[in-house]
Amino acid sequence: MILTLEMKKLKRTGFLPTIFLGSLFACAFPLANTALRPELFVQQELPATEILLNANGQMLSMVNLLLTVLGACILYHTEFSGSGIKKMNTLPVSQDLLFFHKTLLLLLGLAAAVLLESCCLGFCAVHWFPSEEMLPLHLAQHTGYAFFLLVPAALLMMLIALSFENMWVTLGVGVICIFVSTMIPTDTAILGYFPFVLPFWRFFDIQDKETLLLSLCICLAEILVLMFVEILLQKLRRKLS
Amino acid sequence: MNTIIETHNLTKRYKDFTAVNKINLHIQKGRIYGFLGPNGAGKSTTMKMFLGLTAPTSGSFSVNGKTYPKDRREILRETGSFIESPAYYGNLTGEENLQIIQQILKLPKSSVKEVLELTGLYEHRRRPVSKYSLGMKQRLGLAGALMGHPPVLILDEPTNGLDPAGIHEIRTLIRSLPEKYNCTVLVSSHLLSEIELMADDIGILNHGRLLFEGTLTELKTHAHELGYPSENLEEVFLSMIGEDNLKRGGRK
Repeated sequence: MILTLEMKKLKRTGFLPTIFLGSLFACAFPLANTALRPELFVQQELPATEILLNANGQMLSMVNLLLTVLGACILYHTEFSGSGIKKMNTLPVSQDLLFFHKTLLLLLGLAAAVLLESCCLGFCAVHWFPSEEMLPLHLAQHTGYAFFLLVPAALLMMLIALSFENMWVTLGVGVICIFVSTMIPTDTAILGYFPFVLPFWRFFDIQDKETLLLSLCICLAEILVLMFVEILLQKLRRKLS
Repeated sequence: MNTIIETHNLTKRYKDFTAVNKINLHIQKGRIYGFLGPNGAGKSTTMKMFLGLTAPTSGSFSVNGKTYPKDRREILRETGSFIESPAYYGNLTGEENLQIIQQILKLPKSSVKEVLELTGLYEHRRRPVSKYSLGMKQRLGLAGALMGHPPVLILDEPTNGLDPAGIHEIRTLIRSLPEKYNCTVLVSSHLLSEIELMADDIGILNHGRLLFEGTLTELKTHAHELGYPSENLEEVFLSMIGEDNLKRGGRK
């Protein structure tokens, strides 16, 4: 029921068009990049998905992070602009539940974006690498991994959006986080696990099962910690009000 | 008489500032209780405590037999509220805003139409709330509070921003509520003239302290006993506040 309510609140906010247009924008990169200089890629002796991700992966991750920031801004701007959140506080509904349903909506939007981008990568692979055999498996691995690694960033961004009533502050913090994360190499100890850096990890760059498992475990731990922080934050807000 | 809202030494402190100081309220069931006091007297803070929006520093209260914090969710289910300024989703229409409340409270769909008609917003129901005037937003807030005929209504300055005709209309509506829906109304204002026309009982608050609680007739008697001019209640109110301010060492 709460998910339906949260979806209703998104009417006329531009959330869906933003996610859709953003993913189309992301899809344009591999298409244009491969169409304009196919000779650079088709000669490489690597799986098609890996070649395409080496060339466009960073840009796709950055657009996905930007969509995360924009999505979180829209989701909480609707609450703060007319003080709708204040009305919610006087109704018998859990604030934590509202937060997690909002986050779920953002994740659904991001899942659609990642899926659309993978479809585009699939199209590029079929069109320019017709002999590729393992394409569906590789694409599925990339899609699942890329989406899972976006979850901590989405949760963190939603926490930031919940903390600042002014949307411009949320947007500013989000953009700064994106730019800082682009400067941190993914193999940097500790900093490489920052929620905004995780989406830059690529499935095909991981050489062994242990590293893959470690990245998934860290991601899961961050999700749990951020969920716990949200519950604490809501309690603190009520106590300080 | 049957008390529906009761407080015991309810206190709210913010660092070195005491917003509400050990107040003991007794709000009777089925009546309109006017909560009166100058700006900053602690009216909104008290109302916020009833809704669990801010936690009391000390003391306790019960609403319809439910205590805070144990029964907070139940208190919210049985209390319609309108606090400070209208809270709404500007991107949604008036009807959609009320549908959200209707779904959360699990009320029948007809409840939305009912409150829209009651507050005179029915013909504007399909307009985005961002395009509403302040008065219309105020009515929408009131409509949201009335959804599902809650046994307790907490209204914080509900006529703010309304034109004289709107004030009269809302006042008449509030006046009719206890009889129509068998509910209790706690309404705040800083204008005695406003409360005088609406309330059965009044509580006067100044600097977080409850100066008086009782009916309007009792207020007149009380004023007469204390030597205040009792013909005009506005003067009684101002004299009580002024006297209290002097006792506190401030300006009259």
